[in-house]
Amino acid sequence: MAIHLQREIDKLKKKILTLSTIVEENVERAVRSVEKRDAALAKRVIEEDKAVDTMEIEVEEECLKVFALHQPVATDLRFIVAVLKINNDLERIGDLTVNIAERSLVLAEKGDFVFSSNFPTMMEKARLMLKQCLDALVNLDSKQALAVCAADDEVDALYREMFEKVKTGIIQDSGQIDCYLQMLSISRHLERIADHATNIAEDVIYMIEGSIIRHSGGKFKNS
Amino acid sequence: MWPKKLFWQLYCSYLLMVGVPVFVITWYSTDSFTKFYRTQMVEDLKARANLIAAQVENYLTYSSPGPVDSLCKALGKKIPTRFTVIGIDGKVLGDSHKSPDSMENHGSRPEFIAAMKGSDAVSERYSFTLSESMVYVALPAFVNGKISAVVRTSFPVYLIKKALYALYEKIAIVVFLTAFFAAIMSYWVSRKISRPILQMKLRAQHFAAGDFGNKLSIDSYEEANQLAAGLNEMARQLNERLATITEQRNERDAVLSSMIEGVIAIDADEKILTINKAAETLFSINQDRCKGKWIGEALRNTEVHEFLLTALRSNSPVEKELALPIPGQVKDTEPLLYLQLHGNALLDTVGRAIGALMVVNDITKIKKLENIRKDFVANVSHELRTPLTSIKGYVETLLCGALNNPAEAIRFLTVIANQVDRINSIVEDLLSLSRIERDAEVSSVDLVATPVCEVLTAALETCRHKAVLKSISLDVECDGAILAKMEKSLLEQAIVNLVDNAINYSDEKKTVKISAQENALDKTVVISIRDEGIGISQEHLERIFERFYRVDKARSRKLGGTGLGLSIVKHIVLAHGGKVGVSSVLGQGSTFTITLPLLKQV
Repeated sequence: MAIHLQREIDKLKKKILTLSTIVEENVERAVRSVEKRDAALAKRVIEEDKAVDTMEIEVEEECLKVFALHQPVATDLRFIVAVLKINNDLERIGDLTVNIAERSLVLAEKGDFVFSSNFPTMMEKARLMLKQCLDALVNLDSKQALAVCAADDEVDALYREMFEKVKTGIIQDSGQIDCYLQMLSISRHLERIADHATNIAEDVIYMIEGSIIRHSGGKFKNS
Repeated sequence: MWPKKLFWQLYCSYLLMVGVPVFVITWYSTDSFTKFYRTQMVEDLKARANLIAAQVENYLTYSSPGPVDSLCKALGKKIPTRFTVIGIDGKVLGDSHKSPDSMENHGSRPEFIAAMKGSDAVSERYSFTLSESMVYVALPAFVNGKISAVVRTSFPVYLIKKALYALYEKIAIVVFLTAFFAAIMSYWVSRKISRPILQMKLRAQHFAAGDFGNKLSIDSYEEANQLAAGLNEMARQLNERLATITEQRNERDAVLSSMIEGVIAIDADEKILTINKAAETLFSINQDRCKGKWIGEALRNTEVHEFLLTALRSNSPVEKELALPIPGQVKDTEPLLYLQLHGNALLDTVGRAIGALMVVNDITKIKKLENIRKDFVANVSHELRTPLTSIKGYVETLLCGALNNPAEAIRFLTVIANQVDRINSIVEDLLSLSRIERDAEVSSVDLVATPVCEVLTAALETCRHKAVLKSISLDVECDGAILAKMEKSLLEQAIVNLVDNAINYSDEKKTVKISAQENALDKTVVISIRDEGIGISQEHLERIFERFYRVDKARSRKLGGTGLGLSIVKHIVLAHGGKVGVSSVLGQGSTFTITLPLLKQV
């Protein structure tokens, strides 16, 4: 019985890791497509998200199967609960990635719009957070997970800055209002991705240590 | 049953083997001897009783018992046996040790009752008369065929016991001594057998722990010696094999880690078996953390993962090209690492796939070069086609009748001549470029020590005319003593190209500074050409030495550039073993530098 459970858990682990890799790569592609105004890459992102959706359902079904068949307890239970939640967050990140890719498609047509200098930093930060929280998941490293939680504040600050910049940008150069709005939208998606990455990091900490650290700090003060 | 030590097993079994027979034999012989002795005793008593009975018969005919009693007493003194003669009514007629009158009626004595029935009787019981345990033998005495009395002989039991006890004592001493010696001998023998085995056990434990240092030396019975020799031989071979294995592993690790190609091997469960340093760097992962981990966990890349799975399942080698984003380098113009993957299944002796091997080549540079080559071909055709198109246009116009209008015809022909010149200069440049390249490759550039100033002056002379036309002043700053190895005409061409560029891209009445300085620190000559022209923006700096690369295409062509000038400069300098460099601020001017190795001053 224990061996069966272990096998199921290993399978689940592989699945969630595969899913996370796909999502991570997709975020990277979406960010790159924005950076390079690469419409083909953006289309690929939208295409790949279908795989994410399928896998999300697979992982969820797998989790429910383990619950029903093995009634896991202790670490195993925490693992499966964490996987269920991480699964959800990953799927949401996947959707946000598609949104970014769609914005990217629009931007690719406009071409000559110059972004604020903060923008690449924000993209890189959000991407790095996702990478780190997945690293924490892979290596079961609660310290790294905590670092991700801390990094979320930076992304939030960047988002607020971006908000101000878009505002002044629209006032000064109302001809580019479309592009500014796209940019605002993308930075909002990035901020949301960073939030989901934080959630994943918190779930990783829950999985490792069994303590729920959500809503304990002064986070999420953003709009 | 817990495992016992061999020594104790041997010792105990030896003790049992010696002890059990000794004790059985002792017990049996003692028992037999006791029986024999008793039987002998009883027989003896019977014989005596028979003798008495024969004599007593004569006296029984007397009416008084007196003579019987005195007979008993007389015999009793001679023989250490008690005699009693009992009448048929149980009344004691005579006794060798007591007076018959003091004795009670013996009619109820078991031996008397048995003897009255006509047979011999033996009984051992306590005698109340003598107050001790006695053995009695009774038999009837016959007168005229009729039982007329019972003759009884008796002997004290304690005398029998005393004799037996003396015997027992001797036997006990002998048994004890035997047992003692047996114990010592067993101990010695067991030790002799078990000691070599114990030693071998200890050595074997050392061997198992990887210590092959000390040899086992046993001088004992032959089998043990042979076994020890075998063990030593085994240890030696094991040591040798281990050394070979370690050596092979070290070799393999050294080979793998010094490979430029990344190598990753996985087993059938998709777990990482081997991963080398290059792979670690290419995929920016931690080598030590990866070993034994699932590939999707260690190396988060779906394409690589899928590739390895394909390699694992296919019978033939697989190949793939992959663009990997370099983490943390989004801002870079080329954030992708181009990798070429070669995969192959690892087969066991039966031909079953037990894993897969992937070799990763970094082909980013090759990709870049390929792009440059593609650009080059496209550029050459483009550069040649532009003048050709216009030539063709003008020629067609001429053919269609413009020839008849001499004024127009001359204008057209001038344009055609210009364009042909242009094509010519491009072809010239390409030819010289390829010549320089080829010469540099086979190092057939003839380098001669020449003062740098000479070349600078010569180059300036060439450009003077153009400079004067644009009223640009050329400043030269040069130390006549600086020597460098060079092919004079080539270097002159390089400097002319640079100065020409400087003049072309400067506005009128500006200054172009040319200087040659010696850098004693790293033993180089630095020739720099500084203008106050339009400058070049940062993004172009890296690429301006590429063939046909133009910052501003229209402007360059208007100025008569072929797009090859800087490329030629670069190749000339490379052929001299030097370096070219450029720094520029947009709108303020650019500085080109040529760094040549300094020749030691004579």
